[in-house]
Amino acid sequence: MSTSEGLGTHMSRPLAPREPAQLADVLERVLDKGIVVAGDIRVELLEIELLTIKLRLLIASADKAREMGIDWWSGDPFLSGDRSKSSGLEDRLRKLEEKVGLDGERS
Amino acid sequence: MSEVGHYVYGVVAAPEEGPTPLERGIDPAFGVELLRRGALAAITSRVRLEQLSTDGGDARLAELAFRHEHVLESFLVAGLNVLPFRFGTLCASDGDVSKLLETREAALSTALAAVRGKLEVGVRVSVESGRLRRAIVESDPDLREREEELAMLSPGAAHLRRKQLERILAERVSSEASRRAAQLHAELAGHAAAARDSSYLVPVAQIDDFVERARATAGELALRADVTGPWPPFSFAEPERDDV
Repeated sequence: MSTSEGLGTHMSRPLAPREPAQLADVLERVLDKGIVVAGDIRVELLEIELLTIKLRLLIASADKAREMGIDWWSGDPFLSGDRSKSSGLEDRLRKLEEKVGLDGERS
Repeated sequence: MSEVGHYVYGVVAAPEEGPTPLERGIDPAFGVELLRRGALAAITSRVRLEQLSTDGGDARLAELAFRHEHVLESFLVAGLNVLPFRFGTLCASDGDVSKLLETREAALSTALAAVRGKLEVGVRVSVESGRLRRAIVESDPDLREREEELAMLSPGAAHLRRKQLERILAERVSSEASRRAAQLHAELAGHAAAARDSSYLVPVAQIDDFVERARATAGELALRADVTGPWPPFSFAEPERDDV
């Protein structure tokens, strides 16, 4: 790949003056965004409690997973990307903000 | 003994020379690696799965989210286009990470091309009601007249009129705030490559102008715009979500 694929020399400028990211900003961006890949990779399911709604274990296949009784993502708006029902995230963010003392001034 | 998984932060177009990877990934015990496969490279690091447990509660979740973002950002700073994966993407082995790149190469390349040379800017609009109220009164001759009238009335009459005026103004402030926020969004969307919710995908060279425009336009509308970023294009990682 040539370097023209990259963001080039502009990068040093816009990123430099960036203020330290606030917790709410980071969570808002990170928790339910980004491309979802799932379906054809296997991971061992462990006997520890994982971050259930946040972690996307990549299972052999959706059908295979359902056979195994694992379909927790399909009814989970947080995972299936139904934004109209994602108020759970909002609640969670609010609680987090309170906990760390941010005032949650999101409009 | 702890089980180890392979956490995937996102993908980049495989660079000729990788940036110096971070020594600490989402699990501080393991460094970040670039796993190349054809034209793509996965940003990945090993993670002890118990590090991802819920035992630490929400504070732990926040820390993990920060690290996820921090790793992606380190690649932005190195000048690479990053396609962020959803927080929590985990594979069992690096063989599975490779397989993921192989089987999804076309889709990932398309998604990566869509954000090439662009970053995400967040705009949070807030209303300072006093300021908006003044702007509304100043731009409305009828309201201005009513306010001036108050000074000429007896204290008792002025009190009633004032209450009436305040009621009208409270409604106007509320409806104007929504209308103006929508106007600001439309204006900014017109200057971005894409817009979703209150996030905008902006070519890197235009980010400074965009931020300036967001603040200035908000000011003209008697609103306040707090700008965050630039971020990895989290909100624009999935091309099919175009019309949100």
